[in-house]
Amino acid sequence: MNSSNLNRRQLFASLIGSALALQTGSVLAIAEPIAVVMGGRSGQRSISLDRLRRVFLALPTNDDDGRPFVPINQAQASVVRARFDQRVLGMSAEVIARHWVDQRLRGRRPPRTAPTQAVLRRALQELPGAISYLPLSAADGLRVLVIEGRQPNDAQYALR
Amino acid sequence: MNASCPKRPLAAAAACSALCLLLPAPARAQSDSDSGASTLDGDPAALVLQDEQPGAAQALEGEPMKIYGFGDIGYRHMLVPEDSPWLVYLNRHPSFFVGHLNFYFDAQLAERWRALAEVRFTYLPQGGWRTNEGRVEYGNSDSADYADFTRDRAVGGLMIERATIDYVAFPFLTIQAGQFLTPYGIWNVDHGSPVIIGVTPPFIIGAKLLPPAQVGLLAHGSSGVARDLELGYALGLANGRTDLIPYEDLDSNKALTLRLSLTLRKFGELQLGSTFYAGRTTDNYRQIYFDSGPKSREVVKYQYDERSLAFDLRFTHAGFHLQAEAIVNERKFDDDLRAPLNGGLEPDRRNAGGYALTGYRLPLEIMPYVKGEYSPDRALQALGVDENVALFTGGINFRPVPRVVFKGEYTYGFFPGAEPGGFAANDLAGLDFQVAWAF
Repeated sequence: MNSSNLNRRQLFASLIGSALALQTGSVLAIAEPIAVVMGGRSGQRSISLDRLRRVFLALPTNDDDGRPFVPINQAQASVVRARFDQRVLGMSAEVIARHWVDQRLRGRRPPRTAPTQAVLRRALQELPGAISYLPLSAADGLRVLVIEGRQPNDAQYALR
Repeated sequence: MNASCPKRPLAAAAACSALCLLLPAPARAQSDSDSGASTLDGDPAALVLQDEQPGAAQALEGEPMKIYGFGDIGYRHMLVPEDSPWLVYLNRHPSFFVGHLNFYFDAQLAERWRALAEVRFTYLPQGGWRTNEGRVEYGNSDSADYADFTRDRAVGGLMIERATIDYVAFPFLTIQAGQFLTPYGIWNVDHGSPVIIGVTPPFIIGAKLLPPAQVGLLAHGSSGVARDLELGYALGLANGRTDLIPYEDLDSNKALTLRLSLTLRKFGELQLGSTFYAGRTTDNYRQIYFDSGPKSREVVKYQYDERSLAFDLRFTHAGFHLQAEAIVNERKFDDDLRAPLNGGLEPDRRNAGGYALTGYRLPLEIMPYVKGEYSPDRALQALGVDENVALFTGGINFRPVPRVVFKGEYTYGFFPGAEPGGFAANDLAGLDFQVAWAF
């Protein structure tokens, strides 16, 4: 593979990434790990993928402090939301949209959505049990949870 | 690292702006399910969270009520001879109709408390076909409308599908009081027309071998038992069937419902469930009599005990969907209190049947599906048709956006055990079309 091919590919990947970021207003770079975050006062340190899935399927689940988790999703149009739904729930954007419409009619409630990161950060800090996810670079000041025993900067981290 | 775009050259940013107009956005497909904002602590600037369905503004604690629901419009064309006896009850002429208009009233009362009511608005009792002295006539609910010079106007009604208050006692246990949907199978809980894949519910669901809803207490929950494996459970204590009087038990025997299910979320989602129901149904009337003063007593018209056992399976993987349910029901009358039937007495009976539906969701949200059923029908049994009906359905489900579903299906049915010359010797066939929406 010559260098010009590589550069063209890099440019194309860059364009796509930039397009997605502009389109959704997300601050997530394509390959950046997703950090699962809670407020700084939470005693929660880690969580398994299975439990995380329960939380974001809106099944009642308590945190390590004994309080119910309050899952808060990113805005529906965000790239990080799409990646999180795919990795944790195993559902594409189309499937998750259908899923929650259907669950409502079955009598179940979806998690609430924070329209901006500012709102999300405030919810995490102010609401006991609030849990969400952010690009790792945007998670400063929040409690970043260990997933399946691995930190976000671990090469084997589940939400890379 | 922050967003890529601000760190990239201006030319690239301009190019990607253009690209983003051209690229299909997966998330854009669901943007129509976004909704109004909500505030916390009454300060709009403080904290605004959005719900994923339209509804009132909400705060996380003590949210105001949200209203949402579903509706459907259908078109039915029966493909049977003009003199088919089925056309006494089914559409004789092809017809459009508004099928369901169900509203949900949903309030998170506090962190652990929630109230949910689902009400169906309907044209009934206007137009409902009833047998009357050998003829089948539609019901007429006309009333003089005092707001329009007392001109006659048909009056519709509403059906309370469920009305419950829930308390999340533990993460693994929620207590529900009120009228709840009996937690059996798949169709009864799904029941919303945008959710169910076919146009019409399977006969086995319409046969009500388990009561669709009950009034009483239901404890339910789920718990992870192993990685990717979840155990669901429910235990209900209720009045029993609500067909006669939804708000009063006509005997002292409470009905018991028990459900267990296992869900495996790996390589798709597989759910296996089973529900047991046991209850007593009684019909009676009351009398005043005098014995050194006025006294009262009840006279039981009929009474039976019943037990039902239901099994269900659902497997979804990528676009593939398979669901099946089987139900067996045994009812045994008190020998002295049998219900009258066709000039005789209704026998003890065991009813059993089931259905299976499978489909595959193709690109563009198109899902062809087929359904096979083998089912008793209690309404037909009242007419003396004891044979189970076999039905085969093929259809298309098209969901262009998550909230709107178009369906079309062809159904052919026959009674395998029918005797020549009987009611059941006439086959059934028809086309159904529906547009359903969630709002």
